[in-house]
Amino acid sequence: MLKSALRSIKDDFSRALFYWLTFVLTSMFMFLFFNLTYSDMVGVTFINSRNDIATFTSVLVISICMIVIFFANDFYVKKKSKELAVQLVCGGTYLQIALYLLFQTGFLFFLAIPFGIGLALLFIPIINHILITFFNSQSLLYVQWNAIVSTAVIVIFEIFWCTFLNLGYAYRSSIKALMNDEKTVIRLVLPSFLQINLKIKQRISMFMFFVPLVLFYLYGDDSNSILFFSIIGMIGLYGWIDSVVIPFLNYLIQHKYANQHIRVVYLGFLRNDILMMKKNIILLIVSAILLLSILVSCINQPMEEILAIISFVVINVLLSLAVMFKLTTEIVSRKKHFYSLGRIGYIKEDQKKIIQKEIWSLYGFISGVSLFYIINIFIVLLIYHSFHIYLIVYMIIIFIVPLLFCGLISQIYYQHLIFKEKL
Amino acid sequence: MSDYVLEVKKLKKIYGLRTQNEFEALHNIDFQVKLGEFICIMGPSGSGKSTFINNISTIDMPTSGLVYINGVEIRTMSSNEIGKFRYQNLGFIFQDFNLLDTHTLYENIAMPLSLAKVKSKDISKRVQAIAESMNIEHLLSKYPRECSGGQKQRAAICRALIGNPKIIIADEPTGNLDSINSQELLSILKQLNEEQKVTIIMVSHDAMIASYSSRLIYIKDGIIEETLVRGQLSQEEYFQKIIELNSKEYQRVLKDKC
Repeated sequence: MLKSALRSIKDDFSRALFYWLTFVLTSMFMFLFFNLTYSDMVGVTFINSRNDIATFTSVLVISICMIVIFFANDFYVKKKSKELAVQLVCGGTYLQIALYLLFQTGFLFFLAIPFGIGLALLFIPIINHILITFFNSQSLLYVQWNAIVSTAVIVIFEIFWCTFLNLGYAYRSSIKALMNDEKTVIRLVLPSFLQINLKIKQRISMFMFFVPLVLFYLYGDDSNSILFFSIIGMIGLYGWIDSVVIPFLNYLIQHKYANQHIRVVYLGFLRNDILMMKKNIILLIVSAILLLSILVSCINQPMEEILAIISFVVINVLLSLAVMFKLTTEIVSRKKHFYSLGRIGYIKEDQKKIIQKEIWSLYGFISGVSLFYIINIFIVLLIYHSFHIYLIVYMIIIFIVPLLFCGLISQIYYQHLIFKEKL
Repeated sequence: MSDYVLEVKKLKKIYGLRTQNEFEALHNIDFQVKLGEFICIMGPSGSGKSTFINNISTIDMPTSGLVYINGVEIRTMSSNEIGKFRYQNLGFIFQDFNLLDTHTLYENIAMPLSLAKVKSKDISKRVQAIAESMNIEHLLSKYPRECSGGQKQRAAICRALIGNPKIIIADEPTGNLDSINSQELLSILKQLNEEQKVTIIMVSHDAMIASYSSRLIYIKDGIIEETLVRGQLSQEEYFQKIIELNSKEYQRVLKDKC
């Protein structure tokens, strides 16, 4: 079992590398983060945490790390469903399957920790430089024993969390389902008295999405109000995607661009991606707004300010990775689609264009919608003098760069999967 | 001008050429199809049926030999021309339907027309008309995952036929269907063949399904071992002949074992 687990890592090296990289990044971020929160100026201790911004931010960052690992794990395990089915067919028990997966996860994790911590150690002087240069701080960051212990605790918890999820996946899925995941889905139709007219839905969601933007400008001096209005805005965004964006894409595919073969395909893929990414987009915006509110409330407290900025970086990187993993998990099932497209008459150049356009439309949509909301909040903060213009520019760059980077990786992986790997 | 819609000369397909795993899947096959023929390709598993069908339909390229479709040798075409040639001349139907899950049935069926740059209004009319003829007009806004196997196969047939192809290539089209849906699919293919003179080349394992054809090609170990022509035979008589042909093969296998 252990031998085949190792062989499985070797056979699926590119996926294992992605998975490993996630572990490297999450352990690096967590280690850096714990060092910051346990520093003298922030003052959270391993045993006695407090109900303040630092504790709240820590919980947020750790939760996001967990979510990203969940997506990365899903990305890694989904393509192993046939392998698991073969193990079960050959008489493997669920305990053996658990060990098989635990060994793979554990192996990659323990290989990742030294790299993660090593990278974090490289970042500590950079953070100290920022503290001295930009915040005139006297107190500097140094490696703390508590941070090592906390990172180790979370890391071990993550390994078991992933194995538990994987085992649940194998246990819930029958051998047949693991072999062939196609099944007929029955769309739930609400009784007519519960169905809301599309026009009404559109108006409600537009109202909920745009009105908070106006309210930001009226109550921009209060970070709690910004947070509250943003949550209403996000509920609006959720409905807006369903009732405005998707019907608009339907119109483009079936009418406006019906005779443009590349657009018909990539817009259909994009529609599917947007529906799948709805929660990720909202999580990305809510987390950014949450951290902006935290940042506003701790202005003039250097260590907490840098804690919030680092959290902003960490969360954006991790959530961009989560978007990438969710997309790449979906892409795995696209191989067959491109095979069919080839048979209909789509040549390789068409297929390359479809991939490129799908990826950049999706990342463009995610960045566009998120930035539309976040930039409005930045303008409000600028008006109310909470933020300096340079900080805003840096934060926009911090927000957009990880997304663009993940877009690039997604495109490379997508093309590799469609044109290089065998069906 | 040749009388054949499809003509294959000395077709050879070698996998893993010049490697340790070199394997010749098809050996110098000669084969012709006339307009309006309904051909069934049968043979044991691994005999080269799918390789053959892929190589005569531009999906794969032969290692050597010539394949003419409507008088055009496929290897003289650029990839652009092959793409165009496919949606103008060929319609594909597969065992696992090969519909795009991300698109509704309407969008799936309309795809060959998008490739042919047909006007949006005409696309809508043609999709509606063909969906009505297959009794799936009420399913056009649904996604493939929301449909049954039979409904998906009907949608796949609509997609294969909407561009009015001259040849339909069907690879085990009834493989995922129950007996009622299989019979219905065959009736549709038969009707297309008889009324619209569409040429059909179908791979099947099932003797009953093969009995709908006008000619049967039996492939074994990469060569055409036998050919059966229905001619004036009734479907029942033709079916008996196909059974005999298959049983001959099974008897030979059993004899070899003993």
